[in-house]
Amino acid sequence: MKADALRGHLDALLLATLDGRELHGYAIIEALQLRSGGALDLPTGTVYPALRRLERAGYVRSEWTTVSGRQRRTYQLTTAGKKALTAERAAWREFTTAIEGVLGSGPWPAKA
Amino acid sequence: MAGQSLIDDYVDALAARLRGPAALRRDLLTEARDSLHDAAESYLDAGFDPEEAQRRAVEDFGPVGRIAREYQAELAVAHGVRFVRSLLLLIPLVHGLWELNRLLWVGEGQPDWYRTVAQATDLTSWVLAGSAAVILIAFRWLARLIGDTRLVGRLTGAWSVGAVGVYGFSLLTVVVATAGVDPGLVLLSPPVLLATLVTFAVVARLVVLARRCFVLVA
Repeated sequence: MKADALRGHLDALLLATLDGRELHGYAIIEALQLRSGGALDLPTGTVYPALRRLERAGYVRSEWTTVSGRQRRTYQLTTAGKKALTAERAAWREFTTAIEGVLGSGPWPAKA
Repeated sequence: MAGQSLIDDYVDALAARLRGPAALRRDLLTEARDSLHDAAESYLDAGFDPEEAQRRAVEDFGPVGRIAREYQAELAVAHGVRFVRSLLLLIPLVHGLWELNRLLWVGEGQPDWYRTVAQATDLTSWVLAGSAAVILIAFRWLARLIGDTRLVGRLTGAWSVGAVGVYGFSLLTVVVATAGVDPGLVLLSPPVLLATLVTFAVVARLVVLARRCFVLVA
C-alpha cells in the first residue's frame, strides 16, 4: 500500500499501534509493518513528525527512557488519545460497512 | 565525510537542512539516528552485510529532502509558539515601564491627545496579549483542528508578523508622542531614555523572531 493512500490514516494507525502500551519510535514502525503484514509502505522517517503532531494535539505523550540499555523516546496514549482512537475506530467501521455494502455485494440481480 | 557511515552521512544531510529551536532540533536528530541504527540492526539480524543493512535503513527512512520538510515544519511551529510566549512576556514589561514613566516623570499636565495616544497603545497591547494568551491556551485544540503542520506554521508566522507590526507601530507612537510632549524627556530623562531603549530592543527582537517564523516554514 503506497504512502499517498496512507497519508490520511497515519494518525489513526499510530494511535492504534500505541493502544495499551508504551513504545519507542522504531518499535512503532515494526508494529505497523507486522500488523499490516508488511503492506504499509511509507518512509519510516515520516512517522516521527507524525508522532510529534499527535503529541502537540495532546493525543500522545512522550519521554526519554532507557529501553534495553539505550536511551529512547517512548510514546504512549493520553486519555484524549484513547478517546480519539475510539472515535477513529467507530468512523472506520462505519466507512468500511458502507463501502462493503456497495463494492462487496456483486452485480445487481437481473430485472424480471 | 571520509570514514563516516551511511547513517552518519544521512543524519548530517538532514541536520544541514534543519533550522529552528536547538533543543527540539537535537531531539529530532537523535531520534532519527536511533531509528536508523535500529533499522540497520534489524537488517543485520536478517543476514545482510553491515553496509547493505545501513543502505536499506537509510532507504526505508525516506528521501532526505522530503523528510527534512516534515521535520522543518515541526521546528517552525515550535519557533512560532516561542514567539507567542515572548510577546506575552514582553508586553507587560514594556507596558509597566511606560506606565511608570507616565505616572512619575511625564507629569500630570499631559495634553488630551497624549492621553488618547496612551490609551490607544494600552488597548492595542492588551488586545495583543489577550490574543497571544488565547492562542497558547487553545493551541492543543488548534493542532487537532488543523492537522497540516506546515499550515499551522504558516498561520502562526502570519499572526506573528501582523502582531509585531501592530505592536511595533503602537510602541513607536508612544515614543514619538512623548517626544512631542517634551522633546527633552526622551533624551535627557534617564528613566524615559531607558524605556525608549528597551522599547527599541523589544521591537527589534520581536521583528527578528517574527521574520524567522516565516523563514523556518518556507
